[in-house]
Amino acid sequence: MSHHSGFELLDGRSGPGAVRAAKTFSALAALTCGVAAAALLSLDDPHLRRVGWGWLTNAGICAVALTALLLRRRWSATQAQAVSLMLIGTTLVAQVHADWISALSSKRFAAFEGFKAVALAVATLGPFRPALSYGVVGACAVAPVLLYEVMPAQMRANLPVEAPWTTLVYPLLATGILMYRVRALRMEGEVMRAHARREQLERFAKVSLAYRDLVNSPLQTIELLCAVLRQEYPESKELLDRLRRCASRLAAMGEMLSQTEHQVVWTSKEEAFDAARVIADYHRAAGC
Amino acid sequence: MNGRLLLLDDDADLRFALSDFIEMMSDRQCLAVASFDEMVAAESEVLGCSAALLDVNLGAGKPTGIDAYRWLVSHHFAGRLYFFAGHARVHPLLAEIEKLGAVQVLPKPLDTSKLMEVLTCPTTQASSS
Repeated sequence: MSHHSGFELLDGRSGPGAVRAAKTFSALAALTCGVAAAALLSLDDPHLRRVGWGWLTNAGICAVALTALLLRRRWSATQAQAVSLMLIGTTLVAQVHADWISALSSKRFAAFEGFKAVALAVATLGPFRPALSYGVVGACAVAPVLLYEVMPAQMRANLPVEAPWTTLVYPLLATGILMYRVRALRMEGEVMRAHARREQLERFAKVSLAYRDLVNSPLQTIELLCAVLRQEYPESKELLDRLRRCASRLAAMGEMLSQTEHQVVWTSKEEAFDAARVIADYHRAAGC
Repeated sequence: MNGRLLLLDDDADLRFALSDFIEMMSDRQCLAVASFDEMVAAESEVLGCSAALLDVNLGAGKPTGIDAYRWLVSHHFAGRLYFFAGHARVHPLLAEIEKLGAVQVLPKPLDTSKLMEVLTCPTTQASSS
């Protein structure tokens, strides 16, 4: 089944959708990590400068991945998903590094931002199938809490007062977006399947019509000639009756085919159509 | 019912069989033409017919029986008009014309007794409006 809608293109289960999601994620991650790195490297705090180097490294990894995604044409869905997962992993590792090192600094900083951003990016870009997406969003909810729990008390004191619990709002929001997205994709799939079934039925109706168009005139001719011959050669009545019954059976078959003819959508150019060509086109499309 | 019957059908065998059948069963003469152009070329003879049986599909890219119907109506054809349709009972234009009651659509293949019944019984008259 071919897919043309924007929804489908953004669905990570398909090859093009997964590649597009991976490209978008790597571009966004490279850009945001690069900006964060530039801001932090300009500070004179050694801890925050170390955080800046961490973000710069991740920006470099994301930029390399983006280049590879752009240069290599043929990416399967699995490969693109693996790239997305790897970049999410490096980003979250960079975030853990950033939170840990920033907590050593006396400067104020926004904690766990990467977890929030990754949760929302996964929900909106949809690079994976639903189960994996829910898993990544769940990890973005659990990891900040775990990180908080393993931090020494004096480092925790340097975290913003609302951390880590307000961070959970974002994975919750992402879960809602994901649920909506999964439902929308399922509905779109059903609509597309119904559309494909309708198209198939319409094609069948048209080819049935074409077969009937080719067969009905010869059947009418047989019917008329039987009547003429019965009149002229009464002694052949039995044979002609058999012939007529055969023609009637073929006509009945045509009637059966006519059940679908109301499915044909007529255009003004089709008042007269080439039945043989319609049949040939149908079989060509069916790969016969 | 008297007068000639106009037969418009692109199938030569059917034209032959139908002419033979009608001439044998009803003593009526038939004017059989294969295309719209042939019908127009025989205008005076065509307009003298008392009924017309028009095939709908006269070949891909060619004027249709519906074009012939319009031409006949525009030339004040006084006889009864019938469509002989191999496939197009659901064609929107035919359905529309049928709804107006100006013309009867006979499906192919039609039983010969029914065909005779239709061709010999007075039915609705073609409208020139």
